[in-house]
Amino acid sequence: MKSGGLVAVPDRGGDGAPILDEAEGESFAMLQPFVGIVLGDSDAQESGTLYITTRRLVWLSDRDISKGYAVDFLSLSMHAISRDLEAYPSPCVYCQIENGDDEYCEDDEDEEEDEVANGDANLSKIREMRLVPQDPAVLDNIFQVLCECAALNPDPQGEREGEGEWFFNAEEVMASENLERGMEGLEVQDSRFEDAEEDPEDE
Amino acid sequence: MLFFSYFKELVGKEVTVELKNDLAITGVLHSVDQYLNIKLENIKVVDEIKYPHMMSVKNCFIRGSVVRYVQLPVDGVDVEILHDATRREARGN
Repeated sequence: MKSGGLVAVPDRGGDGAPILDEAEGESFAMLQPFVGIVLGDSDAQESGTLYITTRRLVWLSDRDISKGYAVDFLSLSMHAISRDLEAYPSPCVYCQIENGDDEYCEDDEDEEEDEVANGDANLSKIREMRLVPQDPAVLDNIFQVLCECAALNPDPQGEREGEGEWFFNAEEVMASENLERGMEGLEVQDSRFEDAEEDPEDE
Repeated sequence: MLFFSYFKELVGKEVTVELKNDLAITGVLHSVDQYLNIKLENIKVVDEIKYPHMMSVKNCFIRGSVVRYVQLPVDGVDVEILHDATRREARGN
């Protein structure tokens, strides 16, 4: 599964909560009303409800039922509690978001096109997010639940394969050396091509 | 699992975690799990000018998959023990 960064959540269930991917085993871990959200460098804070599921962090607006955001745990590279009021005026949970595409196609042309069609495409460029609960007492709890759910979502093992050929024990190393030596031996002993040695007249 | 066991030994020590997005954070290692997710306390961002938003933060959880390097305290590295542990791991436990 590719990490998708921050995405829009335009739909919600009949109960006003996010629609879970139950087939994939997604379930709620936390529901916290009265949580403001601040995206990127923006000053604008909007009030809503925070849901943490076993797979994603979802925030749904109080004001606009078609507005909401989600970020899956694979894209949530860091989260932290911010309490220093000089650095940021409200205690909050600070998150850094990465988008799986970053390394491969920065300034992707398709993205530019999407932007024209849909303002929400800008979301994929959001790298920072603040969750500002009305009651700062819940900060520790939010932080803790995010830690627990992040641990439920390790990166798919497959991504690590192909990063390089590693030898894991001495036998493997010896085996590969023997293989090479065996090949050399083959060349030396193979008489089939003896008459194929560089023949100046052939060239 | 070698790194997991090794990092567990470093709990309580100060380390610098460099992320793949170039952010480097120094802090006291609070905990680490099998995916090398790392919790740091009393953190300080190495390049505060570049990452002003991190200045307000005292502790953080870092996803293991975004970590590029962990810089260790000199006294946190016992080369002999690490050498042995690496060999044992290599023998295929």
